[in-house]
Amino acid sequence: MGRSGARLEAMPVPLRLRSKVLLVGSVLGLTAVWPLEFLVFRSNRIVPGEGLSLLQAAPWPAWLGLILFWGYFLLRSFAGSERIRTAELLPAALAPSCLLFVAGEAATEILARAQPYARVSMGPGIWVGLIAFFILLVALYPRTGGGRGAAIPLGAGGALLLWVLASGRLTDLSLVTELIQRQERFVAELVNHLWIAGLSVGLSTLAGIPLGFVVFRKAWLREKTFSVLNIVQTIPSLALFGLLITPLALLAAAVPLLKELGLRGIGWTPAIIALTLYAMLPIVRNTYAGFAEVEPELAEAGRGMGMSRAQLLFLVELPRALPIVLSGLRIACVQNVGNTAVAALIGAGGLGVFIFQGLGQSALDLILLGALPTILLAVGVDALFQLLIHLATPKGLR
Amino acid sequence: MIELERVSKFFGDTPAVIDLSLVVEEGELCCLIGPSGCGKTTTLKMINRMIEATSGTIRVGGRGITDFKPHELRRSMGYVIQSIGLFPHMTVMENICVVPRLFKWDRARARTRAMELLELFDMSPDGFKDKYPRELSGGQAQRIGVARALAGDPDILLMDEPFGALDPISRANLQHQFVRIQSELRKTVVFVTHDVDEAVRLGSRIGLMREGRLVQSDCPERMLSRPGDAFVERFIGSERSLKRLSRLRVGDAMRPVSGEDGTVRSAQENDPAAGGCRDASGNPRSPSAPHGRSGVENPELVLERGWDLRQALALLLQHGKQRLPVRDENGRIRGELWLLDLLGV
Repeated sequence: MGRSGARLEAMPVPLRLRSKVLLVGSVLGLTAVWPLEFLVFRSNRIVPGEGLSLLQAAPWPAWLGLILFWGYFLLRSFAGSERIRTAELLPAALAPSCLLFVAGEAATEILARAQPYARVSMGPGIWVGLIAFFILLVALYPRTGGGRGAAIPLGAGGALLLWVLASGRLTDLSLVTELIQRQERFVAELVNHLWIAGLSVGLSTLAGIPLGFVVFRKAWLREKTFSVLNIVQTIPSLALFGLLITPLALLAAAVPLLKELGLRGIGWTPAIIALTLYAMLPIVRNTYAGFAEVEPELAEAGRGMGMSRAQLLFLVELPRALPIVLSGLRIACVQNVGNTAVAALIGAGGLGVFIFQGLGQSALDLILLGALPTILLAVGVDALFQLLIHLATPKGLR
Repeated sequence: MIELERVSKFFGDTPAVIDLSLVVEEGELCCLIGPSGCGKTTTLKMINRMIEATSGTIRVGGRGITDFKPHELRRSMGYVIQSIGLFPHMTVMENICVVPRLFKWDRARARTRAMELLELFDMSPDGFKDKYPRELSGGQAQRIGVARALAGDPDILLMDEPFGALDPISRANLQHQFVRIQSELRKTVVFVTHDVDEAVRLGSRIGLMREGRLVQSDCPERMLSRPGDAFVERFIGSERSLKRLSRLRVGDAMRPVSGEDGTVRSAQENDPAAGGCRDASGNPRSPSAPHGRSGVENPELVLERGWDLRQALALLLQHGKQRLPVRDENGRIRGELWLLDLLGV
């Protein structure tokens, strides 16, 4: 505060909370540096691990750097200008990759001194740290004013992350080790997962949109349809998978042709059937709601102008209802991506395979190998549908 | 020409329209009025088969309407409803072009037609064509509603309380505009309303309905001067002599002046809707845009030739005048209107 008194009066810099999100992110970030453990060392895959702090695992400049980094943003949540400069966003965008890089290097160093079957997995410090970086970026981005000042740092951060992931520096982290050991299986199960979730939503859409439309037209069917679908929805997914095993197995035994076509009590068939049933409720409900949303005077005007039934549907009702129908598909997709993970229990495959293997072996990293991509898939599908819905909403209705 | 011959409609056992016969001649504007539930909307909707008649025949241009497929019949008639029903996901242009699209006109022709219609309704085509319905005021939306109904250039226009949801000022504006457009286009119009004043102002024929029956069908002047029975008289109301005045123009009753000396500045806006408008303190509105007149002094009350006599009477009474000068559309004084003369019309 080396300024003159007059200057201070003209430009007061009061300590005032500028961003709660930034404060939460910084505090979380500092917690991740200390006291949370950075890495967990196990002498083999199964035994309980021994935690290592950042200072123990990595050279001290990494520790100091992180403390300074988070300290700066903690301060920044109380002082300084409202606007975030490019020079501030850039380190925040690059930091997550650096953290992973440091973790990878540290793991390599630890394993070089250890027994062959030893494992180093990412500790709570890294996970919480990554979450803190995410919160930080969420807090900073809106204050940059967007545009090129934000795009360049974020682009650079993304590029660095890709390089770190592809560089092979992370291979000694246990999660990556698991992935590398199961590379082929992982890709196969990922594809499988997408197929199961996609096919079930697809089938459900083919049946659900017409059913939703019929239910909209025929009031007497409405209550019955929704009560059946609501009951289906309340059955836990695991129970529904189980319930389907016996009837399907009996059916396959009675009709050999179906058995040859791949119908089984376990595996794909019950998974697809159950997930299709689950996806029905959101799709039928939203299709009905979408058409019910169409103002009756629009139908009257359309009919009065001489539209045929089909023209009224395609020119007026469908464009008006489409965004709501699509948001039903969005719910169904996100829900089925998650539920497909459970279908691994009845032998349908998918990313759930790793989750249940990991649970069986108490191998946390294997669980994460199944769980993380499932979460990312759900988030990605959700974002994709939000974009689709935005594009499908006519300008006059936005 | 629209002919209804002994038409009845029953919803279950409940009669909505009973034994109704009515002829609407080419170019005529027939207002159907009556208390709510009298069957006027049902009658209108039977003409384009939105509702099918139980018995009787309806002919349009000499052909029975059951000879047409319903949607083809409807395309040949414009249809305007009170709730307007503009399609919210379409621009003004797309809304107007719906029927041309159904007729499979080429794009250029449909667009040209839409531009013409916007101009006909005094809406600048460039300002409005890309707007969405939610960006329009009630009056603008209803204008687009009528323009849309005219887009396919139908001979017949069916209008179901089209101006009913508007505020009095927009309604008066639209009525005036519609009278002007109708005098240009000469469509055959069936216009349902429950507002007697509106019917008197617009209709070349009024059909008064009660409990599903057509009680009296006449030109407005006769309906007002010789109501057929007590119900008609009661429905038209005690002010029927005043309502008759609203059918007549100042120009019909004024005493013309010869000579061009008497130009007087207008005290009114050149807007019939604002005709007779006062500001809050009761003074006549000051002229906002005098046009075609120069060197005019002494602002004074002036009537306009095209106003109806009811507005004129209101002005005369309000200012305690025995007579007022009358100007034409260009601001030239053409005559004088005497209070005394109004007693005789």
